[in-house]
Amino acid sequence: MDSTSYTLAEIIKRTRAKELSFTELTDEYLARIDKRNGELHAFLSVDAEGARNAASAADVAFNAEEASPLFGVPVAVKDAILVDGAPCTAGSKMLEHYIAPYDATVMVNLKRVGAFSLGKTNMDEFAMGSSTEHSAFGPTKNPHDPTRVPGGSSGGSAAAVAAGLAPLALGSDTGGSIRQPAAFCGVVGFKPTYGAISRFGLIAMASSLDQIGTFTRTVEDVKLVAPYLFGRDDNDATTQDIPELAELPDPKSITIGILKEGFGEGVHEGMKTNLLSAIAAYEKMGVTIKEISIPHLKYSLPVYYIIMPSEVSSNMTRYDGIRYGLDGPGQQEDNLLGYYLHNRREGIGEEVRRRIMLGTYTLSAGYYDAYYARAQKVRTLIKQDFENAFNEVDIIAAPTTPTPPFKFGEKMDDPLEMYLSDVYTVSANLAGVPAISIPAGTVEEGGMALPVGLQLIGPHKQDYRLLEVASWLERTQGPNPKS
Amino acid sequence: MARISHDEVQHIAGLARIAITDSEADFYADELSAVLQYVEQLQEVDVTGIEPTSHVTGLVGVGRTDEPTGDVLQSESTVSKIMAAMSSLERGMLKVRSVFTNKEHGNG
Repeated sequence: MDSTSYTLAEIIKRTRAKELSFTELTDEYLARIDKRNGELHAFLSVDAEGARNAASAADVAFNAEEASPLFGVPVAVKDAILVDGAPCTAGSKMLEHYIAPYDATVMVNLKRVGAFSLGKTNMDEFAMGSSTEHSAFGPTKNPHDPTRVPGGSSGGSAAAVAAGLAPLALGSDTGGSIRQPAAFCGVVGFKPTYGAISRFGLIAMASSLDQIGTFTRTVEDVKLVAPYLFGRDDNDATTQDIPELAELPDPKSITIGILKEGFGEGVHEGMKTNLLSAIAAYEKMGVTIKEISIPHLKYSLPVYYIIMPSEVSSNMTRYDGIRYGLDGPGQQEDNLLGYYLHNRREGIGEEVRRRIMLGTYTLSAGYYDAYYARAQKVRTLIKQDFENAFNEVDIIAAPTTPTPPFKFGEKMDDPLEMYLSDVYTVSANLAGVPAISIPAGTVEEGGMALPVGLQLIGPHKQDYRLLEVASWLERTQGPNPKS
Repeated sequence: MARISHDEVQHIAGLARIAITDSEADFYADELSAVLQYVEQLQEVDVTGIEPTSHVTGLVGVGRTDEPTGDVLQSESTVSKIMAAMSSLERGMLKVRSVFTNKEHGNG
């Protein structure tokens, strides 16, 4: 049996049954990476030696009674998350030679229970993009069709799990950067409640929206992992505890609201059929289905494209070549201003520049009220819409993306077109609520079966209930439905 | 309709500390204008009496006492690794360019 078919649950079973050692497991993943990464470019760097050492230490220390579900498990880590001693480029030339000086809290938590990093995955530069085409080191390919994008910004992590190069991957989601690539690659992508997982050691993009989350092959696997990633952290003051479920919900006690604004014009017709049949499966289980509206949903993308660039322009000021070492043309300049101007020109790519300039503009004197202050008020209305909706339903069902994965180059000349692929995901970040994308079959396009993602959104801090409901669909369909 | 000019783009790029060429300024003027026109639709929303949301946690003033915590950031080995990434060091300190050149000194 080849590791591509392993879920985390199967790894646990096989290692406990002594059918598989952690060294064998890691070697299988490293062999697959060797074979496929040249073509897919999911990983920017692979720590084969570190992973082998950790796996052999796991074999020695293994105690089946006490081991956590994550014990001995190799994890693919988005290259925006610090892993002590490993390169951390954030997909940017600015950080091409940067080595992380410590572990992000999420890595500390993983290592504490016996997991370790397999390598760092490709991403759009500083997490800005929806296709990995904005990575300074070249794009990742979609394992389902190499002529198409894997989605982004966490496209490398999504492709790694989809192609069986890792059983679990970490990503970050600011406006859909976990859920959209998960949908495009046919895997499960989970963005928890804002503050559920510490952001300490995550390279910041837009701090009021950023959230670390996971890619797995199944929802069952997320349920195994989430409790070890969640938790308060003194180094991230926005972290908050996520309450466990007092009792498992019964399908008959759950109401799912079909997002009215998510099934109109602009959504791929074939995908709609898949999504509605997934919802019908819930109805068959006894779940109550009704329609629900988020009246201000259409404003979520314009709100996002003011708030996000504003925060980006602020967070990106730290990259000037001084503290994170870019040996750029700024070295030729004898004054500080010239050093900044030329290092930043050299180190920062086109999409990131565009967003920094947009945010600098919307925050500048004379425009602040018209753009930033107004966007923050509309954000309040969107948040209230979700609160109202969750008074009527437990979970909202929507498409993750309006279309299946698009082709390379298709949206590169028109930034607005690219931004529209996040139209159904950004609202969960604006409201800070948890959301998950789960596989919902495939649609045929150009002779290829392309994955479709169903997005389920839950109320603030109801992450465990969201995961529970999401796992029901998987039980009826089986994991990763084939075309 | 919001339209951002070539000169405004150059001004913003200067504020953002990114050197761009004149032809890049034209390119970004078109692109940024398109995005600004797209977000213009927020003007139609009635936001009278609505409070702004800057973050969603409801947390206020999270603090701690100002004492060493034994945290990873305070360990000597972390500090030396952080300093190893810096572009220019001298006698254990980060070295940067001067803000004012000699010519400007005194009237800057």
